Amino acid sequence: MAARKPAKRIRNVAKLRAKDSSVFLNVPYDAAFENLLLAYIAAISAYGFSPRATLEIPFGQRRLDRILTLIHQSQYSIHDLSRVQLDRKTPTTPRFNMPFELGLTVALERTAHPDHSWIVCETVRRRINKSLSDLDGTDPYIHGGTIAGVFREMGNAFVGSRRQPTVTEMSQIYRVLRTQIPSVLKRAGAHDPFNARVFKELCVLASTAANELIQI
Amino acid sequence: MAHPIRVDNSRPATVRDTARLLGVSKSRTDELIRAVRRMIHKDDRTGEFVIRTKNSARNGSTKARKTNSKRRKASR
Repeated sequence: MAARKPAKRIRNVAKLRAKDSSVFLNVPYDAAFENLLLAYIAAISAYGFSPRATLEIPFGQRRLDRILTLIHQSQYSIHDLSRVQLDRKTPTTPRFNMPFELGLTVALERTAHPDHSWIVCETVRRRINKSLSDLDGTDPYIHGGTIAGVFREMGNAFVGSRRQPTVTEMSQIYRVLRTQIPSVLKRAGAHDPFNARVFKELCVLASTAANELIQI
Repeated sequence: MAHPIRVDNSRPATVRDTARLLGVSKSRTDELIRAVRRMIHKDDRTGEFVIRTKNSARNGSTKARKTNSKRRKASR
């Protein structure tokens, strides 16, 4: 009987570790954002964290519950509010998912999960002051819609991290993902990375490349 | 200036941590690890890591540059 208690404690420690190392990634899911999604995955993995996204959520489950669980399981979150324009499909609408998930995160941080840390990223400087003025006083990270910009801003965001990869190392991880993505897509029968299976495999590829390239 | 993320400096996630967290099977993780390891090489001279893509898949031992000029060909 006494032997069962330590095993339970070890399981809890393992859970805590997983929670400590995961970053919830709240980004637009469209073809124009593919490069930046890969850049985020490469950068997050380079810093020794595991990316999580709502892409993982299987259809059929109650989506809102799973989103809340995902945010709650993550220690950090990155919210990219670049996509504020109307989409092309009729009826043309802006995408509300990203600001909605940011709102959920802020609510969780203020209530049940005070040690959760979040940041906001944008492409255009000062646009967020107009699109989401409730965030006044919170400066976003401006990546300018470029891969190099994402690497630079992730370096600023994770400046206190133990692992400090160079932009060259993040670019190398990005190159690994770019090279491997056709085979991952083909195997999954998918056309873009905005797919549960493809996203998960890209994260594993990025984590492998990070651990091979960055020796800490 | 944007505030940085408060990082608690726990150990970096391993590949197995990430795979377990995301629910990628062990066999598929092993395949992905092999695929990445095939691409990453350490340059013996500089000590830096080099990523080999399919387009640049020349073997290290074979020639890296094509001989272009006739004069250079003749001088060999």
